[in-house]
Amino acid sequence: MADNIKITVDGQVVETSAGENLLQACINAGILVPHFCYHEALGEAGACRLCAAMVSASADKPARLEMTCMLKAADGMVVSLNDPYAEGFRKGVIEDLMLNHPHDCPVCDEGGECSLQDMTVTTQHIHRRTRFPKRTYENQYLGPLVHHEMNRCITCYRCVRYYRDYALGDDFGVFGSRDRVYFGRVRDGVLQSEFSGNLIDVCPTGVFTNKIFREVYSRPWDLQTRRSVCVNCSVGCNVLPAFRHTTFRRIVPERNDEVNRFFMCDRGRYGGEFTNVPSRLKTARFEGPCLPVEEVTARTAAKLKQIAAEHGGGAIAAIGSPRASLEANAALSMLMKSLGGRISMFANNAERDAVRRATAITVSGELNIASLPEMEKADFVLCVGGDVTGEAPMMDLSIRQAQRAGAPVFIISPRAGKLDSFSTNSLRVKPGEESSVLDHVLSGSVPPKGALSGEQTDFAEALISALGSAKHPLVVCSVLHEDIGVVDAAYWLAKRASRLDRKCAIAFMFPSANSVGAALLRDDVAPETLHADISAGKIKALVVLERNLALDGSPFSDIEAAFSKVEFTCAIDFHENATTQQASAVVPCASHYSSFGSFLNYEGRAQRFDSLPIPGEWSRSAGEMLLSLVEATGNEEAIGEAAFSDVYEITPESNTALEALAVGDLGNRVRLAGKLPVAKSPRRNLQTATHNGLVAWNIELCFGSEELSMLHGPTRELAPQPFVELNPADAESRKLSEGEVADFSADFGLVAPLRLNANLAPGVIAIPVLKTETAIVPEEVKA
Amino acid sequence: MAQVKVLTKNIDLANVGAPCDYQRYMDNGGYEGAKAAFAKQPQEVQQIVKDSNLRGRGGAGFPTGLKWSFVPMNFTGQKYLVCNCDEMEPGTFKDRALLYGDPHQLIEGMLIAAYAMQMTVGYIFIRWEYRKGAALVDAALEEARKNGWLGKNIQGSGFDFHLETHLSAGRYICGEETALLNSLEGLRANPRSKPPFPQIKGFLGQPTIVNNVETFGNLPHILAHGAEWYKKMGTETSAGTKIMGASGRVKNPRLWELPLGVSLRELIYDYAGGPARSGQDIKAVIPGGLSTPLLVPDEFDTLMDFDSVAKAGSRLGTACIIVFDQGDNMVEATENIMRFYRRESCGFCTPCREGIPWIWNMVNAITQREGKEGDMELMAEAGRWLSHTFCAFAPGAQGPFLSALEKFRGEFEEFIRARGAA
Repeated sequence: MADNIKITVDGQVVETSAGENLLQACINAGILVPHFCYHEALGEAGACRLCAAMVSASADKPARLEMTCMLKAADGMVVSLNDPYAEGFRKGVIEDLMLNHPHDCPVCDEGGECSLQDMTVTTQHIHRRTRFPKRTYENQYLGPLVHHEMNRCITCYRCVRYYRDYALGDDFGVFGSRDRVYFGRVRDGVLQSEFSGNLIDVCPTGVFTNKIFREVYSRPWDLQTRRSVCVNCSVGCNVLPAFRHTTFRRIVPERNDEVNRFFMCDRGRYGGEFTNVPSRLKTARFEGPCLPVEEVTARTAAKLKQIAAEHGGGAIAAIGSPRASLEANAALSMLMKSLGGRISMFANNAERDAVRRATAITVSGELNIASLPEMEKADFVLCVGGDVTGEAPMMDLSIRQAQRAGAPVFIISPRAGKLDSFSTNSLRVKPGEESSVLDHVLSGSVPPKGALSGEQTDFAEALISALGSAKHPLVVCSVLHEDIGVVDAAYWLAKRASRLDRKCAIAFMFPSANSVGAALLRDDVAPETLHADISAGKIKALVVLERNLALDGSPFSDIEAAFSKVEFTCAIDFHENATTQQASAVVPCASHYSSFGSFLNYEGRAQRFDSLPIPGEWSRSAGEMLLSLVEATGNEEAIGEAAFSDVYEITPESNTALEALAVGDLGNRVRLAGKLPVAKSPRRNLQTATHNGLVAWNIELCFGSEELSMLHGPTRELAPQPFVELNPADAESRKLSEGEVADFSADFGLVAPLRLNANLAPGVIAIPVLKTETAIVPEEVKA
Repeated sequence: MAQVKVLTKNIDLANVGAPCDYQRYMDNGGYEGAKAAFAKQPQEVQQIVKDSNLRGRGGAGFPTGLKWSFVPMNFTGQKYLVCNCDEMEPGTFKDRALLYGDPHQLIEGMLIAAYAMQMTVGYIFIRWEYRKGAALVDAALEEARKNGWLGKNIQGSGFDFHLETHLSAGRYICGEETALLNSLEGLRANPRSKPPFPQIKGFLGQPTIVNNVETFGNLPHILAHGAEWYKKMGTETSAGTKIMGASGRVKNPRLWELPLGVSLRELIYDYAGGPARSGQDIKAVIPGGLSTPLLVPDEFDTLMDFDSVAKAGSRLGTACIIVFDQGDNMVEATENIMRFYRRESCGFCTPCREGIPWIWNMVNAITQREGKEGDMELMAEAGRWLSHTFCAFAPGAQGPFLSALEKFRGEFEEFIRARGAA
C-alpha cells in the first residue's frame, strides 16, 4: 500500500497516499478544485488548465503555478488554490473558454447541471470582454440516443478519451486542430458503442445531451429522483431514475463503488423508457370488465380460496419472475403457501438447472465472485459461452479496462461478439463444445488423439500458458444459453485455477436482473413439471407475476393453449401483454422504476431500490399487490413474521443483512444456506439437437434481446430486423447467399434474410433473440 | 569573428548546390568520427559528448550529453533514435542547408549517437516542404547501407543500426519532440505530458532520444577531433560553432557558420550587410527564429550564445535572426506573427487554443484601425497566461508578442488612436 502522507491545501491539512493524483487527493478531501478535463475514470489530460494552483514542494520552497491534475501528491506539499495569481489564471481560462461558448444558459438544456456554468460562476467571470464573432460548427446526427451540439464544446477531450481510449470505440474521434477542434464521427451516423450515453455524463457542458430527455424537456432541478437499480440485465448498475410529476423522464448512472462506479450501458440508460409505455396497465379487470383494484383483489382471493377448497391446494400454482423483486416473489410464494399451491420461477428446465447451478456457485462463498471494479483489475480474462456485450454490457466495459491494462482476453463461444475484436485468442466452437476444450485445460494433459482439433489444442495451450502466469485471473461465463455444461466447465476451471497464492475469480451472466434471487426461492417447481400438470388439467388456478410468457421461451409460450386448460388465471404486471390479455383477472402494479424492493445481482449482491410515490391505484408495487391478495384470502398470519430466509435459501446472517439493507448501500452478498437441487447429468445440453446438419445458437443482443428495453423507447430502434446467420461454408454447401431470404421454417421455425458470418462456428445457425411483441394499446388509451 | 568550416566543410552556405556524395564525403575525412566512436565503449562516447559541452541546436540549448544520460543503458528492449528535421520555425533554414548539402554528416552523427546509446533503430523526421531533401537523404542512406555504414554489423563492429526517413504531414507542432513522436507513431500531433520524458518512454513507449539535425552534425567532428578541440570554439558555456542566419531587412540574407559568441551587431552589420533599404535603420531583431522575444538596437551588442541572449531577455533559439527596419510596422508584424501561431496551435490546451486567436483578433482589429481603448491591457492580460500551457508552443508565441507590445507600445497606441481612419 502507498504511504500515507500529509499535504496542505489552503491551510487545511489533507491526508492522502503518496503518488495519488493531487487533484483527486483534494477532491477526496472535499475540496473543490475547479476542473474539466480530469475525470476520475479517465485520468488527467492537462488540457483545460483550470485546476491550476500555486504548488510548492514544502512550505520553505518557492511556489509555482501548476496544474494539480498533472502532479502526484508528495509529503509536505503546499497547495494554494486561493492564491490571487492562481485565481486570476483560472479566471483567464474560463474567459478563454467562454470566448466561443454560446451565451445561452437560460435556454440551454444543459443548464442547471452544466459544469461549465458552475465553474464560470465560481470564477466570477460575469462580464464578456471579447467583441469578436464566435465560431460555429455543424452538428452531427449521432443516432437516436445522443444529441450533438458542437458549438458548446470547450475542447476538454473528455468525450474522445472516454469513447476511444476508455470504451475502445472506433467510430468517434477528434478532428481538426487549433481553434477548430471537432469531436464527432467521420460522417453522420448512429454511434456504434453500447456505452455511448456516457458521453452525456462525461461532457462537462452540453455538447452531448440525452436525445429522449430533451424531447420532453424538464429543468433538472424540477426532476424528482430516487435511487434505484437497473432492471435490464443481471449486473445491477445503480441508477437515478428521474420523474417529472407522474412521468418518467430519464435515467443517469449513480455511483456505487463496488458495482458501476461512473458509467452504465445504453440499454440501461434508455431501456427505462418502458416506464412510459402506452400499454401501461392502469385498471384492474376481473373476467372482462374493469373494476376497482380492491374489488378485483377480493374477487381473485375468493376465487383462489374456492378452487383450493374444491380441488385442494395442489390445483393452484404460480409463475414468479426473475425480473420481479425478492419481495414480490416472496409475497407470491407466501400466497401459494397459504393456499397450499406451488410456485415455479423459470422458463424451462434447462434454464432452471443452469441458473440454479450458477447461483449455487455464486452464493456458496467457495469462489471469488468478481465485482466490476475487480474485473477491471484482472490480468487474465476467459469468457465462456456467450456474448458479454449483449448479455451483461457493463461487464464488457470492465473487461475492456482489463484488456487496456494488458490482460490477455480469451473467448470461447460459437459466435464472435464485439469483445472478440479485443481478444488475444478467440475460439469458435459448436454450442456445448466449450466444455470439451476447457476439460483439456483442466486436466492440463494431452487429450486423446482426435478429441480436439488443432485449433482447439492451440487455444487450450495458449490459455494454459496465459493462465499460468496470471495473478488475478477471471472467468466470465454465460448462463443465458441454458447450458449447465458450460456453467460447470467454468466453475471447475476457476476452482482448479485457484491456488494458494492466487484466487481465480468467476462471474456468471444471468438472464435477468433478479435471476439469482429467483433461483434461491425455496420449493421452486420445475417448469416442465408444472406444464405437464397444466396439460393434464390438474391445475385449476394460475397466478402469473410480472412475466410475459409469450417471450421467455417457456413451455407456456402458447398462452392461449396453456390458459385454456386452467379454470382461472390471474396476471399481475405493469403493462398489457399477451399474458395479461389471456388472463381471467388482471391486477396492475407499478413498473420497476416506480416500485421499491430488492434484487440480487450476478454476484448475489443484494441491492435495494426505492421509488417515488405516484398517485393512482395502479401505482403499488407487485409485492404490495400480492400482500393485499394474501390478506384478502384471510391468510395474513402467513405473512406474519416471515423472513427472507423462510422464503429463500439464504443464511440467517444474510437475512439480517437483507432486512437492514438501505437504498444507496453498497449492497451485501447473500450466502447460500442449504442446497439448490439441479438435474444430475452435468454435461446435459439441450442445444446439441441437430437439424439438417445445423445447431441453433441464440444471439443475445444488447438491443433486442432484453424484454423491457424492447417495450418502448429508442432502444427499440437500435434492435435489428430478424435475420439468420450461417458460416459462409455452410451457406455455400446449401447454395445460399448473403441477403437471400432463407427458409428454415421446417427445422427452426423461421424465414429470414441470411447473413454470412465467418466468425460463426461452422455447423451453427445463429438466430437473434428479438423480444418484440406487437404493441398492445389498452382500450382506454385507444378511446 | 571569422567564419569557420566545421559542419559546413562540405557545404557552401552561399550556394548549397548538389549534396556532398559518399565519395567526396569520404575523401574529405568522412566517417572518421564513426570509426573513432566504434573504437570506444558506448559510455566513453557519451562521456566525450558530455565533455564537449555540446548543447542542443534545436533551440532550447539543453546539454546533449546530459539529455542522453537519462536513457537507461541497462534497458534491454528496443530503444530509438530520432532526428528532428521538422524545421518549421519561421525565419530558420539552417537544418535545410545541412540536410540538402551534406546528408552523410547527419547519417554519421546519428550513427555515433545510436552507438553511444546502443539504439538500433532510427528515424529522420523531415518537414514535408523538405521532401526533395528527404529524397537526397534516402539516396545517401542507400549509399551508406551499400558501404556498410548502416544495417547489420556496421564495419565489423557488431553494432546494428537501421535508419529511415519519415516525411512529416506538415504541422509546426511536430517540431516539439513529444508531438513529433506522436506524429511518428501515426497519432495526432499533440504534445505528450512530461514526465515521463522520451528518454524513458518515447517512440512506441520505448526509450528514445530526439535531437536536432545540427546537433547530430556536430558529433562526427567532436568524435574525430575530441572534446577539448571542440570546446576551444565558442564560449565557455556555449561550445562549438553554430549555423547562424539572417532574413528580413538586411542586404545579405543567408547562413554562416560562426563560433558561438559572435555579437548580434556583427551578425547584422558585418555578415548580413546591414539595412537593406537605404535610410531605413534596423529597429528590431528576433534573434532565434520566430519564438524568441524581440531585441532592439541598444541590445545589439548581445553576444550570440545561449546564456548571453538569455541574459538580454530573449533566447538564442535557432540563431537565425529576423530583421525589421524603420519602414516595418511592428503592429502588422505582430499580426502576422500571431496569425502564424493561431494557425499552428495544436488545439490541445485552453490558453493556446483560445487565447492566441483572441489576441490575434485584437491585433488584427488594431491593424484594421478598429482597435479600442483597453485592448492593450486586455491583450497583455491574455498574453500573460500563455506561460502556463501544456507545452512550449504558447510561451514561444508569448515571447515575440509581449516584447513587441512592450517595446513598440507607441506604434500600437498610434493605431488605436487612428480608430476608424483606415
